[in-house]
Amino acid sequence: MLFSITSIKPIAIFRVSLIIITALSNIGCSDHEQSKVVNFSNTITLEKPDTKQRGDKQLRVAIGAMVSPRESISIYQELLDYLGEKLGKEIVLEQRKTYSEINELLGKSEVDFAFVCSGPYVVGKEKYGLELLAAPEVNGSHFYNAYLIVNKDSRFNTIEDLRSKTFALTDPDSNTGKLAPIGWLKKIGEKPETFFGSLIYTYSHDNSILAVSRGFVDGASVDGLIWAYFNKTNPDLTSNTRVILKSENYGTPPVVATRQMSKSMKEAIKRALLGMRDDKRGAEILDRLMINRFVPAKDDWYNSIRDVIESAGVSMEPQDGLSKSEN
Amino acid sequence: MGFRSLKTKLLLAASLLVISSGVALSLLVSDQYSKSLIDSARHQAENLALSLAIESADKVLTHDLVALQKSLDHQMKSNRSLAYLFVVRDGQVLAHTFQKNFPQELLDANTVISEDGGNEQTIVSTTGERFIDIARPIFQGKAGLLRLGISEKSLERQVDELRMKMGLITLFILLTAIAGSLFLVKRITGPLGELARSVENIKQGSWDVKIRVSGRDEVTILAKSLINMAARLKHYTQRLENQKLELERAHNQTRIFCEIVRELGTV
Repeated sequence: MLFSITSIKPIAIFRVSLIIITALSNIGCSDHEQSKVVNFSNTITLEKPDTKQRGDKQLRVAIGAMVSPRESISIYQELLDYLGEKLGKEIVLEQRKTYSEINELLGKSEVDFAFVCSGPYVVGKEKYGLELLAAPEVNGSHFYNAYLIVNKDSRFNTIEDLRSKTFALTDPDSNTGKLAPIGWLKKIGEKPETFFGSLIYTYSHDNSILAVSRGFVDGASVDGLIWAYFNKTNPDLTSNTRVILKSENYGTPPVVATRQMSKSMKEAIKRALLGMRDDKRGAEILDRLMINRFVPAKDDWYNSIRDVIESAGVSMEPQDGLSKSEN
Repeated sequence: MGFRSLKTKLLLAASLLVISSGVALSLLVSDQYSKSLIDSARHQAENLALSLAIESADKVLTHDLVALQKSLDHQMKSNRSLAYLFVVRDGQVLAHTFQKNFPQELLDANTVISEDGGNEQTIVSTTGERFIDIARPIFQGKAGLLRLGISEKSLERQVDELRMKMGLITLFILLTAIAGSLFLVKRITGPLGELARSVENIKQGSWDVKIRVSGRDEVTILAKSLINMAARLKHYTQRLENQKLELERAHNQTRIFCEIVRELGTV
């Protein structure tokens, strides 16, 4: 048997070491991601947002904050897309936190038409000359009511039970969210700011419902149509609330146009809205919105709101002593 | 002896293996650590982007830009790893957290593919700083796009700290390994050196092999074999020498006997 004995050479040790380093270090360097090079020094001065030029093919529409902004889009987007298609215009949606901001947009003609609450229509008609285009008919009626709601498990059964309690108002310009409770309290010789322990503004009816449902407030006055809509589409929101009082009838929240809008466009919008029930897709959208149809609105449907404003001497601005909440 | 001695070679091999393993391990661990740090930062960035996108939706939709700006500024103050935040809608930057002007190229550096999911993009500045950029649609893109950037600088600093620690640990291990190797190499090469010297002595004709043998390893077996071999060689050599002496004696006797016979013949 022949054995071969060879001495270890230093270079062989170096080679083995190099192989170990190369092999192990390569394990972690297998993937290479793509990156983009950006020169952060190359800057521009940004133009003020929303200073875009309005195109002729655009129609700007606003939605009052009757429900929170995201809910508004979920509810109205399909209807707006439908209108855009029927009118051959690109519909640009504008939303604001308060009703008065929407009225201001209408007053300055920064939007062409809007879906507003009935209270702001009354104010906007007076202040900016807003014109009625149509109003929704729900459950066979073009009237709706304010609901006084409390938590389902509470012992409150009348508005008097809510004395010195926490109460949620929707918006300083809201009909059902502010004027209605003022009207109720007027009948018993009270005012919200002295009758309730504390008041908050929630800036949308779904926020008011949520506030009552979660027990943040003891009671709230909300739009009956919106309460009914959520009671059907999102019962989790309303299931913890109980309606203890309904208001008199008010004209349903209308679709209004600015005075400056061309007559032909007003007529076109009216036609599109009033004809929705006769159109297959339009009817489907109305069904989802729980609206029977849009009908030509009359200004005197909103007289009951004017009566409340006049009799109570209501200022449609936030009053001193009313705390605000940004729910 | 120098580089040719087995002791030096073994020490060199042990040192180089420890160094190479240490370096390789350091590279591997720091690479994995860096990856896990970046992954963790990505997840945090994605969660933050999602939360901010939800929070920003109402502000964007109601055009409440002051509240939006305050919300972004608040996030920047409360999260130091954030490099920038901005909200874009219809190509317009509604709010951003850059001190003055806006980096133009950043706007198009990342976008979303679907309206439900975000997109991640690594961005490198011209100065070499790396950013994890997340683009997240706000309210399915109906309220624009939120962009969020996290600088990898702090992560790189942590990786560098780890590398430094690994280097020090490797140095400590190296010194310990060299000390240990010296001890072991001495234990291994000591008997081998004794054997080598004994073999050299045998070669010089000295048969007395004086090695203390204990243990059962290969070196001990080799030493025992060498002792036995030396003893046997000594024995055989002595026998040969004795036989040689006997042969010489016989040869002398024969030679003397022959000389006597020759002298008797001449008489």
